[in-house]
Amino acid sequence: MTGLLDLPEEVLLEILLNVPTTVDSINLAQTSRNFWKLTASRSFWRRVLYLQTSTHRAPVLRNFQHSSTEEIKCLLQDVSAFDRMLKGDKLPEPKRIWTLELPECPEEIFVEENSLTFELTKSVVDWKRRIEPVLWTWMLDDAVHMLSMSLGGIMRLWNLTTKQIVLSIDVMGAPLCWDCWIDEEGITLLVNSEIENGAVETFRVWRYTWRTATIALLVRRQMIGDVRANFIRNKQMGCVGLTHDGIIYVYLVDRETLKEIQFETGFRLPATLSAATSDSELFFYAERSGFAIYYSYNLDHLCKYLGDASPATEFPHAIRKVFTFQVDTWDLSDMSFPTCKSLADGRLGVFSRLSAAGSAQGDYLTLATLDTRFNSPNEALIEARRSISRTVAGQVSVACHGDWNLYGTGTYGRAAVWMEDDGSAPSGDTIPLQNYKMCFATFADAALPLEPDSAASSTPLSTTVEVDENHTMDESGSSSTYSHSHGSESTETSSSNQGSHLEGDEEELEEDAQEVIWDRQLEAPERPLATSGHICEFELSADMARKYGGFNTVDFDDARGRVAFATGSGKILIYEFVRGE
Amino acid sequence: MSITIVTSDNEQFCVEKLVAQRIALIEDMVENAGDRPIPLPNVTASVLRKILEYCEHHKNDPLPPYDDGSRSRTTHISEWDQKFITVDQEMLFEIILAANYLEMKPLLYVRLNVPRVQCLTACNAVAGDIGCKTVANMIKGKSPEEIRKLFNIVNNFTPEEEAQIRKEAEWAEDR
Repeated sequence: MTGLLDLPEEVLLEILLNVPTTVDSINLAQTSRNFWKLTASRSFWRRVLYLQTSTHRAPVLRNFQHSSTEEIKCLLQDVSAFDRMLKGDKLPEPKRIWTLELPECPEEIFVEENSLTFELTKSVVDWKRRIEPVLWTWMLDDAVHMLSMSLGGIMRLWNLTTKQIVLSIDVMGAPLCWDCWIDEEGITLLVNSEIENGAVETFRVWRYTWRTATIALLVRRQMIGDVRANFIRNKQMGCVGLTHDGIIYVYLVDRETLKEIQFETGFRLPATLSAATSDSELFFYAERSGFAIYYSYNLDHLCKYLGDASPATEFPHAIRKVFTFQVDTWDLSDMSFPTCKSLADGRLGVFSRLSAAGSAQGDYLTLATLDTRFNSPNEALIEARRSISRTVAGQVSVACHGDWNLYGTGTYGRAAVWMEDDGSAPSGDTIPLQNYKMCFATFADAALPLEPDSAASSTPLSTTVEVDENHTMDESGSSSTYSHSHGSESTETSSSNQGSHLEGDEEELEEDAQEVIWDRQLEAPERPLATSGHICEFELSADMARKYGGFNTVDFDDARGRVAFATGSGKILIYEFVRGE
Repeated sequence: MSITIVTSDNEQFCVEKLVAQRIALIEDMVENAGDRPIPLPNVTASVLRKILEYCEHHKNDPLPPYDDGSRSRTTHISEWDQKFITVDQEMLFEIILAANYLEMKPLLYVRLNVPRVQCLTACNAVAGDIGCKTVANMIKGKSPEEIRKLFNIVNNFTPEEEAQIRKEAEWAEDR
């Protein structure tokens, strides 16, 4: 009688690859040696990685083509371990620390040859110049590389596996903002830098190719005056946004070329402009007097428009959407500038640090998410059918009191807060110790987007929505409103060509915001918190803390549980929380 | 025009060429065979009958999309296919084996050059898309022990190996 194990190996592997979930795959693999040995296959781990990323349980490895089976396994194990840690599982003592520092040999740095050409050359930089504070670090989602920027404007790409520098670039000025995207063929780096105290800003785009280990400067654009650049990206394309006196310039950058589109918003953009992309939307986000306003543009429309029109054409206002995020029950005097970023599941997330007036619990970190995915795949109606299907917010209260130093946020809706304990730890040692804590918080309800029907049921969140009475229905007439226990939430779209030119003051911004208003009152701090987390305690000697010259920023890889500190000493500390020594 | 296929148990099938050519292996053999019957020494009559039934039903299906190995897999099986593949386990595995021998599997998309790929048809999904999906669906939600019981798989791990494997697979719990 023919049985399952009589099938050839390639067919057994095909069965293994066709099971619907990771658990099913692993369960089948555990039935016998015949199946288990198939798990050595790279295609098996690629399949598992696909399943995990498609359910947003693992980061997208953009260059996983180059990742070994071991690297993929390691990543998946780390992701799982960190998940379990946040759910309360006890894990081996974490805190494996890597220290990245510059090698003692002279460092070769790519610089522009002169101001007239795009040529790059290598310059050997002496040791003294290289010892500069690190401003920020960024662990990339290929699970291998990390970017860092030093005070002097040297951007470095590190390989975290080898702990070596892959390349160094002089960004020619003080760095203002930056972005990158990484794929199987290389990495594209974007930096906006300023010289002469901001009088001249230049943004540049470089492309580094893995195979040839070569770098090219693709773009250099200089602008004089008040320019704010935001580098944003999505899965389909690179995208650069620049604002200049109310004009938004959008540059779509593919691997080797750059196309430009500019369009006027018609009003002066607030100074706190930030930007992000989801799969299909380009957002500009601004905080103004307790309101956070989103300007949303459909990327498909932008691209189509870019393909049709000549460069530097005014973009129609019809695609503009404005959402208002209101936090009127809070004392916003200590509200830091929110961090706006695209979450792994495609939604827009806004992390804000708040201080509640009179609360003994101190600071709060909130995450609000905005789901703007389309209801219909019909491209012609994409704009009309956009909806806000659900908004959620959560807060984390740092259960152990202390002073917040830094916090980092991740694309899975998690945050890491680095804090000093309230009191110095008593110590009988000759070297005084300082207690630090790393608090990980996961915004539980933010991790699971709800469908409108389920959103209509009970929710602990207080949500109210105001919809402009004059709001025009879309051409399909789909404009729905549904209610729940604390108010109503709107599934709303706006019609074409109703955006008006506004002249650039606050009232006009708010007037414009009535087009679609998403008004959200944050949960009061006394209410039960809907988050979970994990706290790791550290002890650092005062000498050691001094040695690092202070921590400038913290970067949080919230899939794998790694935290990187950019320090004043020029070193980068990486704490790995899911594996023991 | 029709061709003759002879099975391992010496049964002859007169098959419309259009239908037969949708099986990759036969398509290769037809040109060299001339008017001679095409032998299929690894396929029995009962199994070939099922496969031809599938080819006949799907003969007008469009070509499947090129698969570079990274396609999104689904567990969906159409109603007709589901009915077609509702057979006992032995026949299911015989069909999969035969389809594999007849090169009716998506693995070929990766291995063959483009002109050959274009000759493949939806019929080639028998082994992979229908057979393997059916088996995969039977596995869904079952523990290793339940899967062993379902398919009469003998646990050939040593206790030490089993413990080690369980430890290695821990990461996948609750995934």
